[in-house]
Amino acid sequence: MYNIAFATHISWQILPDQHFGFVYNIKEKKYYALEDTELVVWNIISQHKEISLNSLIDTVATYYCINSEDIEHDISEFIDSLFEIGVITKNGRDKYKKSI
Amino acid sequence: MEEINIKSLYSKNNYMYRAIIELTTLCNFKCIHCFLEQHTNPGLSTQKLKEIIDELRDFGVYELQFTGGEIFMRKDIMEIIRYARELKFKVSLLTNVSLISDEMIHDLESLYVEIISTTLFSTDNEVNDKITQTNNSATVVMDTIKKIATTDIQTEIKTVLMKDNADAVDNIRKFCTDNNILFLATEGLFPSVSGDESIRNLKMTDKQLCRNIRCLDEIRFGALYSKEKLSTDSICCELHYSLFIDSYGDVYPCNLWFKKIGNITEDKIADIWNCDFLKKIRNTTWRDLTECYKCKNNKYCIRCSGIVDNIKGNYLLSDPYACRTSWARSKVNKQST
Repeated sequence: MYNIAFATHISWQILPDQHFGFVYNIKEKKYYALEDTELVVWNIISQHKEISLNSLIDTVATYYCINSEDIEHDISEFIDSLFEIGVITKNGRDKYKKSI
Repeated sequence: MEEINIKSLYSKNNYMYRAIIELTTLCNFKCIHCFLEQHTNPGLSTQKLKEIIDELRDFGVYELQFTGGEIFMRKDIMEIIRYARELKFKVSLLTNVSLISDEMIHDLESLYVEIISTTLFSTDNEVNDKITQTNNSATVVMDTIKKIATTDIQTEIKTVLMKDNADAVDNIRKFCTDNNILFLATEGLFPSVSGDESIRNLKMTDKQLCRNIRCLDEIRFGALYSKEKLSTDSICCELHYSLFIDSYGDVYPCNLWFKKIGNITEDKIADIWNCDFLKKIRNTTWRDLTECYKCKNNKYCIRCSGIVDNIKGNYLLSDPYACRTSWARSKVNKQST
């Protein structure tokens, strides 16, 4: 169990049509696309200073009217990928091992 | 997750990618080539600026470029930058860097400002001071930008070559290379906001221009500029993704096109972005430039429709200043073949 937050070294935006977003890792100078469920998850994180993985999974499940257990694995995997590309922190630390 | 090209995504869908915001016209330098005609406006209030930044965020804008005047003349500048970064905008700063303290450098690095861009006209104080009308300006700028370049913030020096600093490129380029600073150099001098072209009297002589143009283009484009203009080419790609907001809140197509299309404190950004004038100029192509499209030097030409509109009242006409630079490229190209 851990808490998730945006890293400080990112910029991001969601396009006006709300169907596409992107995040930029300033340290690595790389852009990444956010679409569909990724965008839903990102939006939920953006509404909190910090959110636990369980709360995130429950909120996404509520959004889609499904059981948390059905999406737990996929959401965890997605969060891991966001951590690996360096755009979020887990318990206040990013992949560069820097504490925020 | 795949990497993507953001700017072209915005342009293709007619979304606004960038806002260039003039925070103030106050400045501690008095550059002889500056196209601002007054340096007395402190700019919009902190609260008003935050409201504008909020509106731009909701509209989907991604990059904010803060310019002036000199933006660090504002006492609230760090507060504004911090606010923009908290909303996760990409933030770029255009500044003479002379007012940036060591503490500010540390704060700017912590805020992950993307790029700090400054101007330098010579590494020699005597030459630089003649242009900035400020003592020791070269030393101050070089010392400060060097410090910033040791952080993670990307730094950039822009140089405008005029007759008084026509030989400055090599030394500035060396300084940039030695300190890992991006370097851009140009011969472009812009008429004042009211269209007064006397600033352009500072331009290099024909001989100086021909001597320098290949080097300037190599810095900017990798080679002497040459691009065949298709009839369908837009007159300016920036019109499709950027707007300029001045220190009164007046909005323009860009910071060189002084035709007001709205005021951000009175009009909704969506209405300004989709206004008739912007639609018209976005749909204007090189085929509509009756003088320029058939010009034998058009492949060497980088004309600015905004500047032409300012000085002639008709953005479809030619700009003799751009014509001269095209001629110089053409001459240099002939000499090398």
